[in-house]
Amino acid sequence: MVRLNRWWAPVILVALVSCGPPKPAPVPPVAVPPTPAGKLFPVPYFPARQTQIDGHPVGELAPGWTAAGLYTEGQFTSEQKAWVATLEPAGGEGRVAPEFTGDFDGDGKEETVSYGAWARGAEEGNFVLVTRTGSNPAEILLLKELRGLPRFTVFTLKPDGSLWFGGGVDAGEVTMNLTWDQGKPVFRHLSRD
Amino acid sequence: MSGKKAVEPVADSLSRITNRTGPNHLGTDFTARKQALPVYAVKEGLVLSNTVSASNSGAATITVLNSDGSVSRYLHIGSPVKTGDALIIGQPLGLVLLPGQRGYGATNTGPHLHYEQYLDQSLFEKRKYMNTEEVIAQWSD
Repeated sequence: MVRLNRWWAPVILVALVSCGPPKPAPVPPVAVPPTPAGKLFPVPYFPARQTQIDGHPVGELAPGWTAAGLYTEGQFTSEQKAWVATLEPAGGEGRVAPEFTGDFDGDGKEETVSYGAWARGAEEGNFVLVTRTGSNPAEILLLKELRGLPRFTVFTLKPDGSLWFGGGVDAGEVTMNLTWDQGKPVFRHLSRD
Repeated sequence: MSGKKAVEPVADSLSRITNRTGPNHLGTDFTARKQALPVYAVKEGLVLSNTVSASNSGAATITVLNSDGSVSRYLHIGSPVKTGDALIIGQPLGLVLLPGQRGYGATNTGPHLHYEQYLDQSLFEKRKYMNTEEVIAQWSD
């Protein structure tokens, strides 16, 4: 009898699981695109479609999201990494990276600021995500959804802890920034000039 | 150049457009590939101002009333022109500023010209800009 249970238990378990509520079709992962001719970071640029971000199912991060992806350096090709290494900080001052982790608000815990792309069916866009690290899923401090074709960007971290970003990865103007007020990230669109 | 009503502001093979107009960006950016490339007057006109103001993130800004009534703005360039100066089409205006130079700007991610154009002064005041495609079409004609 004991032998019988050992054999049948997994079968019964699988049968029970398969009788559960229907699940949404999984979104197939899309490989990081190879370096396209003449455009290291094409627009739209959506390097990887994931169903979870920092431990959160993307459908729970924002209503209707079917996939999302963070622009993390680990997903870049060597050509893309080399390009990022050449980029200048906004205003000529600070450090440049696709994402930053640090104790920005001075509370003794670390926060991560990152940028990514979302998909809601056929619609796509970018988002800014600020999380407090150290838990799984990570605590979300800010998620700002941005409309328009997904475009990679880098952050400039200024000596005062503010982060400047947007506008692509070529010479131009950044269009957004993040500052910190009483432990909370504050998102702003900059002057449109 | 004869017969043309507009010319490219950065006529250098090194340059290319790196940022277009949009809801959060009123102009078209031309990279200078980390160099102080020369910038030229797109149209004949009259200089309304040449300032460095905090409202533009510390970017040097030249505003020109063109002879066809349109308004042009050239940002992030060092230029000796002053209010009241008359410009001819294709006239050298100045050089793209480099990091550390006054007027480079706090939001600038590399030497470039930010060029804006408006069909007339009332649209300039409302910041209803011409989009990048309309701007390019002028010197492609």
